[in-house]
Amino acid sequence: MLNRIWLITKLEICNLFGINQLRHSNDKKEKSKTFGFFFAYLILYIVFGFYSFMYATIMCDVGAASSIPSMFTLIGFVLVVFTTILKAGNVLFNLKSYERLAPLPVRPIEIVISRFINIYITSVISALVFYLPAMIIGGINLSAGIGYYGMLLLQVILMPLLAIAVSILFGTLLTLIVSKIPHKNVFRTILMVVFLVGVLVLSFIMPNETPEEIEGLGTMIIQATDSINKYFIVGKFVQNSMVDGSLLDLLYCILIEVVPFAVVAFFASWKFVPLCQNLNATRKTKAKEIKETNVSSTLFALVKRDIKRLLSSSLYLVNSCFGYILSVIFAIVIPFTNILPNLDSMGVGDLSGRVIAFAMGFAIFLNSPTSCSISIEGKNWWILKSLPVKTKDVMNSKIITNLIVVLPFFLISTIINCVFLKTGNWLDYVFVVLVPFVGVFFSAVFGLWMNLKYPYLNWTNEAEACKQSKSVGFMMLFSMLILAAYAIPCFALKGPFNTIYLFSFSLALIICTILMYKKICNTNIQNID
Amino acid sequence: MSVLQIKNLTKTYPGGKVAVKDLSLDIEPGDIYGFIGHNGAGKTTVIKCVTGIIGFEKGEIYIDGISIKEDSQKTKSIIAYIPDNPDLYDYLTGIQYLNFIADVFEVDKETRNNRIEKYGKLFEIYGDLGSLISSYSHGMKQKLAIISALIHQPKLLILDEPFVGLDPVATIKLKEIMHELCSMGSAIFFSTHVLDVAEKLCNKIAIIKKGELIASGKIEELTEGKSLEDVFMEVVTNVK
Repeated sequence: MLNRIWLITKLEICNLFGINQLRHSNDKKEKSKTFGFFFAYLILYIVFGFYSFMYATIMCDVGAASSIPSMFTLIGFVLVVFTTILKAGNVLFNLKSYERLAPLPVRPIEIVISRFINIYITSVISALVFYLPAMIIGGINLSAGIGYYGMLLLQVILMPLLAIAVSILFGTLLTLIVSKIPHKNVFRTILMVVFLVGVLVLSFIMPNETPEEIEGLGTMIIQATDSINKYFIVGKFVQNSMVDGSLLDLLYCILIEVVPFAVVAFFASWKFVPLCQNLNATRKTKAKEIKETNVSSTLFALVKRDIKRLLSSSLYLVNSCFGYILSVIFAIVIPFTNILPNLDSMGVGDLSGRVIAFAMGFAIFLNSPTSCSISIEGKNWWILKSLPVKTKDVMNSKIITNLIVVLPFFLISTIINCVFLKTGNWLDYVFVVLVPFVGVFFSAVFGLWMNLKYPYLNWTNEAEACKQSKSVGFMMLFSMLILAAYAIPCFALKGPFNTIYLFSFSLALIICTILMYKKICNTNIQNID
Repeated sequence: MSVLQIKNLTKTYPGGKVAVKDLSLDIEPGDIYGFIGHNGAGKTTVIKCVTGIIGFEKGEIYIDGISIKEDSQKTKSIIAYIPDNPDLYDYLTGIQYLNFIADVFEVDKETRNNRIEKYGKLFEIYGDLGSLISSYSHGMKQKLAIISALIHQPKLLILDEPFVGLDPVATIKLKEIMHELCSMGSAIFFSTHVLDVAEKLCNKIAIIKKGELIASGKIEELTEGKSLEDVFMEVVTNVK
């Protein structure tokens, strides 16, 4: 049994981060792509680690080092839950990969265990990266003994178990509910948007409530941690066992982390096959009547198809259009927060117009549906390649789809901004419209240009194309760099120079957009694979 | 004039693997041309080059006298391609997919409606065209791909392993359609592993081995009274 579990697990691990392709592929392009993914993950983990380090250092500086164990147990727990919650359907109860293994002489329990190991490994990596730097900083600050580090090691191993149990439980329930609902994508999209918007709005509102308590930040963090620990009881046990060396709390901690996992794992293996089939069952719908057919031009047919593609996937829609949602949130939230009055009080002149303009710019530049619009074609790419369509039509369709999606968000946010902008300077109104306007066209064309440079069609899960592909990562990275070059001199330069700079840079971006568009239209789509 | 003329086609994949080497063949109107060979012999590569899915570095491909390098859009508008494993747009309904293809091929409303009804009923999926493709079985997807290929009545129909996944009734109907198309002046070029099918259906065949054409021509001239199976084994074994 152990041998078979190891064999299946090895198979799953080979696929992690494209390790197997990196080792065995003879294709240099393939290798460099895989290395790119690997590198992107590495950078992401370094950023996480750095963030954790900085956060813990600030906590130590304000005298809240003793709260680090419980605070980071909570953060690590939330991080693992959100990275694992979708794995219930996608990894643990994945029917396709089960059907591949089912004819082989392996038992369902062996498949379940190997999948739990796969989920566990990725969770431990996330936990290690985020948890370890902060805990070590906390340990050094508290001059902790060997017991603290021993407990830390135990926590790194055990903490993901509770998070995995919770996320698998809720992920399974969520997938089960969604599988019974007729409009799954609408439901999923609403859930994702509500969650993301909720987190954002809360993060905007929370600092505004207690600006005068900044001096007592340490006390505030300790009080906040204590309140959280009332509900997140494992945080309290971790804190007491690590900081105070309480063995009883250590025992409670182990029990709370291991027992729920064992229960969930037991149920998952006991009901594995029926759960696999139920979670992946498609709802049988009545055959719909065929509506009257409408004849369209090639371009319009392509646009209709691209819009349907975008709307068919909540993951694609939310990920690529999140910036647009953000632009409306910014437009609504900024006038009602203290950001603009605080800037006024700093005596740097009225920057409201530029702050709003570049906040909108940030949201629009962040990402665009075009940055993965070629990759998302995946295995269907052969259809466009074999059809008598002009490259220009294919590219125009992607850009038009992007513009159709962004237009309502752009209009709503611009109208709100113009209504609440009270500087009295007409130039501010121009900025507020110009920066996002340039951003809309630039990001649509730049995203497509990036995707043509780094297409990724051979994906097995949409998330690989929408979230983890090089084109999306590079698009975000370079867009932010360009936005920084666009924005910083506009704030730094004095007098009319900042206005001249803003107009010149906007013009330069428009010219770049036109040049990139021309290059895109001359692409040979045959060479994209 | 040949419907399809391949002249000295050579295709090398990144990494240096020569998939097709100096291959030439001609397909005339009315031909049902079978393309047979081992797995990995280069059949799908040739088909993908002809359909414009992949490029090639040496040689020429003419469809109805037009070079696909010079005007690929024009050549694509007179052919139709059905892959061995039809990955269609799962997020569209069957009818939406057919309309999309018909829009791209600029088929007028009346003609498309007639053909969708005719072939939809023939393959017994007309009632399911309103459902999402994601709910279709492999065979239904294959049937939908066939209907989409017939919607503009192509001059050249290219099929990669067309009978895989089709039920016996659909297989017989597809064969009838192939004959019907040829009688109207179109040509069929298809790859297959099933030698019996090739022998009964085709008037010409080509045998490919390791990317090189080792035999081609009219089936009766190649077989000379022997079975295609015997000829295939003989040719494949003798040619190193």
